[in-house]
Amino acid sequence: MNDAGYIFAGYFSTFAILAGYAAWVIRRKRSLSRLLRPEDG
Amino acid sequence: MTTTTRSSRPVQILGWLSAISLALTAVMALVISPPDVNMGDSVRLLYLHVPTAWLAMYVSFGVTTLASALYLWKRTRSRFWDLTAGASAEIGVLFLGLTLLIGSIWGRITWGVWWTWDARLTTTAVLFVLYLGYLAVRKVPASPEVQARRSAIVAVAAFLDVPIVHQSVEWWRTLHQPATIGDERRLLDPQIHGAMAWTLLLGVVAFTLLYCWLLAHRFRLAWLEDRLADRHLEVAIEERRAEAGLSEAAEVTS
Repeated sequence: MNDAGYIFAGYFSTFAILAGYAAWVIRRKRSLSRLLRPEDG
Repeated sequence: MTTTTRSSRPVQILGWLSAISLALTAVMALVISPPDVNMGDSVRLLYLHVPTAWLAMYVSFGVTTLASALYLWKRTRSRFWDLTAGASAEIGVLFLGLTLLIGSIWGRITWGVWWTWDARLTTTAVLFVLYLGYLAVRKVPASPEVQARRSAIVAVAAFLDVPIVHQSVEWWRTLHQPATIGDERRLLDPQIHGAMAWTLLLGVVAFTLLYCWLLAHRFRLAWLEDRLADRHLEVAIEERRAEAGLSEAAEVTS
């Protein structure tokens, strides 16, 4: 495969950024869920 | 809604489906799909570039605009639409950032430069800045109603750049290639290999599933942030009332 470095860098950065964002959203959501009382739901 | 930390079953299924379809897209794009006659292997980057662009511009910002319009319309005004608009815009900015990043890497291989002030690239960069501005406007302190109303107006105004981005390859002389799929002049004669078309289609489906999954989680987070802000306000009011009660009692005793 030509330009494999660029292509793998593109794929790696895309999936890493998406995974990082998803992890941030889920972790923050879980921490806020624990902070709020069940009766706030 | 409840404040349980677990996602609902449909959201969990959506998460698994998007993970599986993204993995399949990567295999199809990097292993099965052939190199392009003109672009060579750099075409493999377009299986990320096209779906992320589609998701950002038409789906994410489309949902933001629709939700904002529904918020602005008095009959349908609800906090739900404001939170949906904000959640979708944040995901759209993420996808558009990825579109620019992948496009830049593709440009380095094909054109020899990371960036050029081409009409498509410039209008896309403007769109990215406009929606970053929208997210900044959402953070400007104000009452929730004022904040939601002005954010909705900015969202609708920012969307005006989307048709300009779409038409930029037709209106101006540009390095960026015109549409391969979706061009009405080529609908009956698409200029794309079967494996490439299927990989692109799978990529679009995978990223759309991912968008739906992210939106469900991001909306839920926005809703929790909203509840927490309300709770902080209630606590602050209770504290002020308690302070006022104490000072009144002190005045009476003195």
